[in-house]
Amino acid sequence: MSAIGNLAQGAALVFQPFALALIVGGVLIGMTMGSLPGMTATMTVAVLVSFTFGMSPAEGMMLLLGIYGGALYAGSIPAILIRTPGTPSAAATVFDGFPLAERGLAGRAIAVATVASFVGGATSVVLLAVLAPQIANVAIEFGSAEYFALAVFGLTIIASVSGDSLVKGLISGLLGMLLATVGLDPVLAYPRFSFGVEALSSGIQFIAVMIGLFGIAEGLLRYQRGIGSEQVTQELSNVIPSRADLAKIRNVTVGSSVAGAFIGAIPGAGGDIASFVTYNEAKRWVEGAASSFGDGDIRGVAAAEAGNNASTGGALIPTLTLGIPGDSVTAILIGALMVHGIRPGPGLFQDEPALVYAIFVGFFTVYVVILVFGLLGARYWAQLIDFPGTYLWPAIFVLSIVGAFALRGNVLDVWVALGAGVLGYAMRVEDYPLAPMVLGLILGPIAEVNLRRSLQLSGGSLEIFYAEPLTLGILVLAAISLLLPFVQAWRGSESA
Amino acid sequence: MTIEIRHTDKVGAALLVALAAGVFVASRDFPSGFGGSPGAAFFPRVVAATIGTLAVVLFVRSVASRDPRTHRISTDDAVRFAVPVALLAAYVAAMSVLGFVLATVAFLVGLMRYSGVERYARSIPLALGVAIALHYVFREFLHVPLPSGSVPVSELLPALPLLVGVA
Repeated sequence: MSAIGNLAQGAALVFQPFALALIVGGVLIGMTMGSLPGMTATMTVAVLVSFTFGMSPAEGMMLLLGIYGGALYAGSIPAILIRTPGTPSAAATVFDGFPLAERGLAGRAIAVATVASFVGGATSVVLLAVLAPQIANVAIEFGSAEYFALAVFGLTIIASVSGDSLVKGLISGLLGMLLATVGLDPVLAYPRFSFGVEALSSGIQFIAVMIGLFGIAEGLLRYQRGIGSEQVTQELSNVIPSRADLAKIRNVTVGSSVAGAFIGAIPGAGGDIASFVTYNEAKRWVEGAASSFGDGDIRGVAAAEAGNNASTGGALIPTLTLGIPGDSVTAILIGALMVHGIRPGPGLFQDEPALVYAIFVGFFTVYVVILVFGLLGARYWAQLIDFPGTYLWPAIFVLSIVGAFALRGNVLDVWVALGAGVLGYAMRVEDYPLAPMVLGLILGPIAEVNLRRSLQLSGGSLEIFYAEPLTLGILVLAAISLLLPFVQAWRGSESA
Repeated sequence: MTIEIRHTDKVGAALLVALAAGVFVASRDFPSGFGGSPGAAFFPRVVAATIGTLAVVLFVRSVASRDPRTHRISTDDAVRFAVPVALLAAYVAAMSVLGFVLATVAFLVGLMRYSGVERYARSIPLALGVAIALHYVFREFLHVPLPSGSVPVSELLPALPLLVGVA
């Protein structure tokens, strides 16, 4: 079927009263949670994913995409008002958003953030809809050797998303891969590391691990550090952008949107990395920005917010076409689809074209809804910032527990989530990044099964990995991607 | 009182080495592969060996830095971490016995009380509202049954509107 026909099929799934209600509901939930300092999009999606298990895959995606986009956008509101980003992705928004708020221009900053978020998100969805089918067309020809190489490439990205500690990031990713080996061996169907526990032989549910790592661990950290609430003193008015402001941010917004989408497409690079990169690039290239960025320049807010929201559509490119998550939220989306027996990858475009195009249409609609609610309701979201944590965190714990239970109606998954929560807490305290573990959990099984299938096909010869230029090329890229951060760190220490 | 835990990075590295060794021991009976494909133990062992190697790197780096990573944990810190964990564990354990609704109400009231919500007149209705709403949403709309336990509260819930005179 043609792209237009697929789009029409997708639109038919989205423009149903229930699906539209889910989009609006998802955006409202996402904006509510994103407005609360410290509530990440990943945590919100992780603790609420269980609500989609009883829905159709397309309906479930509408809710989750609404939360995803809404939370990433709304993180800018506390970043601007109280210098505390609602989500890590809004950290770069603080640089120029808060100085504007200090001058009494918080409304103007939020208006710019809203428009830039819309442009960034919508642009990235258009790029997703244009590029993803082409990539899937190429990827459908991939054999197990190419998939192994791609999984290895995805895993090497861990080095670049590990922050200050490369070694700890790699260990975190490897721990994820090790956890994923619990359960039936994918080739021999032999139960590994189940220690006689029958429930373990079907494996560890990675959504339960994600709920623990991002929901429960965050709650435990909050309790340990104290669950006070922030105070907002500023009254918001005039959150409709002026024509002059729109003209001023036009170029930086469009540029950051395209750049953010491509950064988001790199596995593991989420909105936080995208917003910092687009902010810094805008500072380098935009006229006069070197001196005005950081001092309340609306173009700084636009660059950060366009980049951060553009990463969402970008992140869906590897997620849908290759089954490799672009960021932590898309990792949960993969899990949510797998609950329905749907595995993202190039086959998805042939087997479920209506669902794929519903995701494109639905995600674009999400950003339209964000624009409307952002401009009309900013003052209400701002009031949520001081919502007391004494009520919020107990409720989040309950949602985490219920979410883990709802996966299979199994208490073991709840204990897994709780164990992952304590592990995630310990890892955060010891500065082990959590995002690599998620990549390891998803990519580990893909790497293993394709490595073993490849070797079976080649009769044990490693030639299968370097005989084809594409496989070899991806593996060389993987080696460069793994070694580059080490080389950069070494050169940095040499020059220091 | 404050406890000082020194060398936490070295302890962490040692635990990781132990984990890697444990993987090798636990996978010794895994079946081998056929037709050139490695067996069931191959992949976990490669991963474990890499973890072990990186843990040794962490250990050596920590020794070389001569500035051991130290955590100072006050009794208050320990309590603030332990109470939510203990309440969560008790909640999960109680769910199979008391059922979702009762266990959730008890957990929410307990944790809200610990968090500083002192008025039961506020916390109990909130906890009941959350528990019953989730029970209905999951059972009626999402068709995901939550644990009913041995106390038949969930079975009485459909009659709740009649009891409070709504219907």
